[in-house]
Amino acid sequence: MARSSTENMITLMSSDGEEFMVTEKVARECTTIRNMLEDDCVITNIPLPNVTSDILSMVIEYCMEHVAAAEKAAAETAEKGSSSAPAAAKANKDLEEWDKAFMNVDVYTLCDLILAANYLNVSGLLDLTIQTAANLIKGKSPEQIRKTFHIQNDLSLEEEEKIRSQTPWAFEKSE
Amino acid sequence: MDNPNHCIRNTNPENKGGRDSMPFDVLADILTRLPAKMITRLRVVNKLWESIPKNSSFIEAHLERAKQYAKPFLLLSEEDNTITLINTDTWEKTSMVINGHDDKFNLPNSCCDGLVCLTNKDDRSMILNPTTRECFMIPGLPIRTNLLELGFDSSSKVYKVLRVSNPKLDENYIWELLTVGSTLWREVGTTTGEDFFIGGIYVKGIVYWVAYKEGERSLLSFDFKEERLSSANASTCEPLRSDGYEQLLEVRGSLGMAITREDITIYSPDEEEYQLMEIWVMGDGINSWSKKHSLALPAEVYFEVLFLKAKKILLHNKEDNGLYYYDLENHLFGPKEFDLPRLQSCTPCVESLVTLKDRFSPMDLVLVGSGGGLQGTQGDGIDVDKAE
Repeated sequence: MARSSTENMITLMSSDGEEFMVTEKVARECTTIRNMLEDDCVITNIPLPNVTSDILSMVIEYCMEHVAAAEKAAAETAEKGSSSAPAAAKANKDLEEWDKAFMNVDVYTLCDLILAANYLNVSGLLDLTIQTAANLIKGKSPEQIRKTFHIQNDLSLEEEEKIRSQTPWAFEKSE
Repeated sequence: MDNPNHCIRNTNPENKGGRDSMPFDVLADILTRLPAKMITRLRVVNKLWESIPKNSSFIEAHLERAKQYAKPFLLLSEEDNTITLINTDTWEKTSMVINGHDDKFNLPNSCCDGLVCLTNKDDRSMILNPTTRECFMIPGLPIRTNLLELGFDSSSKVYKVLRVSNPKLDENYIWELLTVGSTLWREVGTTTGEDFFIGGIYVKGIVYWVAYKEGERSLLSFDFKEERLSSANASTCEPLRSDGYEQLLEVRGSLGMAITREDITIYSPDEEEYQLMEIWVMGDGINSWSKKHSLALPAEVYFEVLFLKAKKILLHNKEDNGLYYYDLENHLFGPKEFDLPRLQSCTPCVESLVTLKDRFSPMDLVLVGSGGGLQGTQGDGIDVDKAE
């Protein structure tokens, strides 16, 4: 499906004042923006004071890739009358690989992407980034978590000891 | 990268440029994807991480995810008062000891939201969460209990315990229900000693059994919300029309029935004999069943189906007491994954942080300690985080 020249363009403005022109279709991947457009259909310029330009460009990159993948799948279905299962599986796998490569970011960028995906309500990106964060946490000790994510420990030693004593089983080794 | 604005922390003094700390919901979503033990251990990270595992919506979301992940745990009851939990992903074992009770406990065939009812030969009954080791004594005098099942009533959001007992040792079996949090057993029905039923599989608010009466099989069910017992015979429950022995199980949130066909023998190209096991799954109602899987298993062995995980089925060989996977995609059986310590049945179970603390008095709390073979690490603050 070729992009129609009459397709609406939306300008997204990052917190640091950079402007991004995207198609309405790409912008609508963000539920927060979709809701704005549905409330006020003549809106063309959307300031996003919670998202910096580097993060916004990544969110747009993600949305564009996923919109393109969906359009390609729809075009193939329309052409052949039905989608072939092996082709669809391959397309899914390719998109998964793309997502995986897209998640090859440092922990700061990851956290900013989570916050942006949460604020803009991009469900696919939110799920992807949250799963990536969970995988990063897996197997780490509380101390390693604090270090990785630069978390300040606001518990006193006594409080920490009390929490440990409430659930001794969680601090035991399995056989 | 030296960036002072960081996220998974709840206070951010250098908040600038619209960057924010990680909201509770987002961190909670991250934690729902981790094992219960890890979440509980990470409570010492800071106050925010400490508060999340106590939140009831978090507990619910974590349970939903554990259910989707399809029961990777098995519960075993040892000869003494020990309950063992086996992680079928890693085959790691953890044991717990129910204090103050010396006898072996009976385990149910399935769990309800990761909780199980235990009974012992003194007819003392309790509800155990094997993940968190929280255990409470069920109120009421010891009574000759033939059956004990825990269920959840989704409309009033309470757990209920169903008990079938035979107090006078006569023909009458009394069905009673206790709402967890109250002390009153209410009679909900009676059956006679002629009814014999097995199974006891809990799925979404209903517990099911296969009942035998005068050589006929039927599917019996008790609905914890309606508080009603109902029954369906082979005319409505299609899998019961097959000739073979049956076993109920849970299949990804639905009731399943495995039928090992007695009238069919399969031969491999090299003339080896196999038995056919068909797995049926119930749809919207008791009269809508579809055959989902057919398994060719070694002949002359009694297999118990434990659960479906991805495209595999875990089976318990009752002859050699081993656990084996059956690969549904390639129709391959084995090899043996694990040896159970002795001939016993095991209960598939999900991880759960569900607590009944608010429903019981602290007086009802049963202390659960660590099982044998474990070092005394209780509360000594030693980190064993690299174990996983």
